[in-house]
Amino acid sequence: MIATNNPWRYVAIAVVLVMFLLPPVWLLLSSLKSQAEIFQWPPSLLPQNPTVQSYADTLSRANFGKYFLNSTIVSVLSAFLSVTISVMAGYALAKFRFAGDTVFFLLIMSALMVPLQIVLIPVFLVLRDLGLLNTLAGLIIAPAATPSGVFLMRQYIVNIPDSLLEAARIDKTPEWRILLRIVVPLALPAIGTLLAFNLVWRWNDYLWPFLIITEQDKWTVQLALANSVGRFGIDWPRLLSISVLSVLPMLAIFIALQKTLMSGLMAGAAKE
Amino acid sequence: MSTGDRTIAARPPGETPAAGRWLNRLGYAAWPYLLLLPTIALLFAFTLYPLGQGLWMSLFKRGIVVVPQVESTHPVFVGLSNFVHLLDDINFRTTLIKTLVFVVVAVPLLVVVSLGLAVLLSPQTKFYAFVRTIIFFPSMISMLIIGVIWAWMFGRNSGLVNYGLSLLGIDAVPWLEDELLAQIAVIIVWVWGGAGFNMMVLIAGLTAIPKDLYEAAAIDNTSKWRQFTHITLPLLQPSLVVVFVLGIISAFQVYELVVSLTTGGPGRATVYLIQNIYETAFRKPDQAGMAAAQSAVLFVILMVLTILQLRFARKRS
Amino acid sequence: MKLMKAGAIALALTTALMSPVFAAQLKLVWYVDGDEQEAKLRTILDEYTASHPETTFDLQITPYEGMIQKFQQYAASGIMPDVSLTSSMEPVIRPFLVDWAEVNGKDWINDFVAGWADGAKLGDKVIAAPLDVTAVGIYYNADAFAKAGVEIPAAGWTWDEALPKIKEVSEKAGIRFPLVWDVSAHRFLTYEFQYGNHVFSEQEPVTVAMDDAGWEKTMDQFIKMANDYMPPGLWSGASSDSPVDMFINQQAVAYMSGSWQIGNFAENAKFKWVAGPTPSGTVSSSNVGGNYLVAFNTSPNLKEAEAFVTWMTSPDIQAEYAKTFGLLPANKKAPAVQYASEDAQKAVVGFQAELDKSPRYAATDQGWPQMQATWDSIKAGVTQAYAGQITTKEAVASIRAAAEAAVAAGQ
Repeated sequence: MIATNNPWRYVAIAVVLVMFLLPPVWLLLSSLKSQAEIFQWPPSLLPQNPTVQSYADTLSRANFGKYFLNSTIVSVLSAFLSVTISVMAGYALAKFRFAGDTVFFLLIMSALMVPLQIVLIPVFLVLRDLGLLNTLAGLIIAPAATPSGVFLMRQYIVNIPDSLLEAARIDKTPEWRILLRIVVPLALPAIGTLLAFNLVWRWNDYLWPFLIITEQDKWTVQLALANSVGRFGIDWPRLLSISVLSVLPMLAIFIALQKTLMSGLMAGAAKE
Repeated sequence: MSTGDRTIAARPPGETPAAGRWLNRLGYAAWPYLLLLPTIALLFAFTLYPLGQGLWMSLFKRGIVVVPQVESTHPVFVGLSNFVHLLDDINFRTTLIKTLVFVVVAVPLLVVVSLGLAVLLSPQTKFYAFVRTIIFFPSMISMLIIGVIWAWMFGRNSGLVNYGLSLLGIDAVPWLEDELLAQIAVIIVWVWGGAGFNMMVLIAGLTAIPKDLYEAAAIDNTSKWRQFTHITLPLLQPSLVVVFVLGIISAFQVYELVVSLTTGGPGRATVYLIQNIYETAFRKPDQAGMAAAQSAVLFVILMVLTILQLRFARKRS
Repeated sequence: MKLMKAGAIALALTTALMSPVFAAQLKLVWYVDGDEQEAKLRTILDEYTASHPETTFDLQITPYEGMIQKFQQYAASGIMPDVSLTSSMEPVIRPFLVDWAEVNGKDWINDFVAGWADGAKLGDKVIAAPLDVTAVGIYYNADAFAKAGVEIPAAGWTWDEALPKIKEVSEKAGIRFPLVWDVSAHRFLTYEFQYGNHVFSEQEPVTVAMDDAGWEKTMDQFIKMANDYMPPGLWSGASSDSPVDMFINQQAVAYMSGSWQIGNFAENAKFKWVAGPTPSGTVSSSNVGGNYLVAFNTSPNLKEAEAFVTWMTSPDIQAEYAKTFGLLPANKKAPAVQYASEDAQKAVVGFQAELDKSPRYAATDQGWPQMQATWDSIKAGVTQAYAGQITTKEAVASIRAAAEAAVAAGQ
């Protein structure tokens, strides 16, 4: 591989950084401009009169805090639920051989191939029949089973040495204890990773909340974001400020969890 | 990627009295099913059952919802004729071909870019961790917002990129308004949005390759490039398969990004399958069966590709 | 007899006194452009609750883009709101809409602006209550015209006369683009109207009344105009340019849009603007549009829902609503509206006059239910032709095909 001290390496890193930094930074800068300045041509690179007006407008809306709270509740609970059931399913697929195991695996993977957009109406009817419409519970439960989560957990748990599980079984440890006391601690890095991803996925969901929620008190941030697009135009300052605000928690999660995330991914996807 | 070493057959745990053993055995046999139950139940309710309904719809001419009082929504069994009609449906054919081209170009590009980034940024220092955070950042933003951001970058008359070019004396480029460039722009932005995640997966794979392999190669005076092709790539293959499988599946489903970046334009140049399916189902009163048939085609393509990839991966390892 | 009558009165009185005041919360689905509109709407709703204490509201704001999908969900699930704002009555919800001819009598709908009222009729029924009317028309940056020393003729002008002048203004006043135009099928169709082309017949039974050659010629002209006077790429359908923001930030001399922008410009424009006269082709034409209120017959609070919709569309409230939102009232009996500013007042009056002068098809095309299944093909056709993916001949053929399919489906 390229030597770490090769100057070209730093040139390449600089180029990559510019490409990845520029768009989000431009979003941030634009969100600090007034409506008029946003559309000024030639554009001002730095805001001439930086203003947090659009942030103030967004935040001063009585409900915005509520949307944030709803998004937080939904993504945290849904992520925990999702990780729990993914660990269970991943463990079953990784460490047990049972009638129909391949079928179950393919069934789960096939669900990965169904975009929600094409099954909207049947899903809506299921939600109605289960009484989940217009509830946060619906937002938490409906998207909780993620095939990619199961896939990731399976890939990770496969690497846990069978001998550990065997030893526990010889000691007559109940199966649920094996799962809780051996598998879960060993899979912790992957669990952390999956948790982080789930938080992000659920935080960014738009279609599920749109399908499920009607009452404004139960809106999530993404619904508020979508509502900046009206019939006759887009409320740009509002759209930009909500975009930035909605991204901040994600950034915080990533910075906080980067170590776990990295080691989880590394250990998880790496070994065969 | 696993070789599928689910090695332990259902084996009863140690010595127990006969009755207890029997119970244990039963419990043990049921255990994996219990573990799978919540996932399967949720997937069944919110994905598989609706999918089954959706696919069943493809055999009918009907509206997306059936309203007894509205005649054009009533289901009429038409057998496979929706699928036959798809063959002459120019909109479907072009969107299918466009989607296939998108997948064939975007997914390998995604893999190459992610791999390049992974090789470039794998060192485990604070500086590299910082750079990785920035590269990973787009993976945490919804595709809708990514589309909005890049529409601002690529706008022909008001975009930052063309402003930069104008400072260099270069004429405005119709990034989103030209048929070919718009398709390229969608690919670029899609790769931009997904590269961070896949880079992480690949870095994970890279760090798992034993260092002594490279040391041995260095002693043999093997060139860097040969090391890369003979050690890195083969050993990274399991991670590359993950990136490929997930990449292909999400590429076939590209939708939200396009809606906010180009809304399918110029004309219909960047309308891909999902958008076409959605529009057919919701915008045309009695065409839900056709939309379902399109979904069925998409589903079969994805299923076949995934099974092929998993087979291929297993054989290789 | 007397005794019986007295007894009946007593009985009626007791029931009236005994029955509790029945509180109804109406579920109201609405879309808005921005928070301000939502706040204004809530004020009007509060006003209603103040005079009708038994009725309160559960306002459900929905993105406009999602309305069609919402309607499908209502029809599929049977879970419907009590009242909804809409610009079109989708076929799947029509069976569930209150018939206003039954509620308010057959003649009630005649109180409303003819073209927009036609769109509310379905056979003998009236399935929607016209709430507001919009007109399509042009805005000019008057400061730029003054600076360039060009006059806007009060009597109006044709596109052939106007375009070179607008371009001259953009050059002399140093404004980036002469003309911007909302990228929408509805606003494009106005240009076809101005050259005598329309989609459907003006009378029932609805048939496709397209003169294909005329449509093609006009579309060719439109594309040439878009290339020569508008920001490059605008009509490709992929452009990220926002016409309204370009106009309000003085990057375009003229802006083809509609009356719904009046309130926005009155409040936010930092320059002198005027609305109209909209250039004409061979015909002068605006294009009718607007919003309706529909009530769902599945509502548990049907009486309250009907009362509320009737109130919203009554003359006095119409005037207030139109003033608050800078719109044209749909009810012809509404007292003359005094708008917030003189500019707004002039603009509304001007657009209203242009609407009144428009040919009948400017109202009927939009009004026929068949149009709902045709809009998408118009936008796809013109943007594809602009982008050079198909010829205008093919574009017009695809619009005709969609229109004919819609007519066939409606039979």
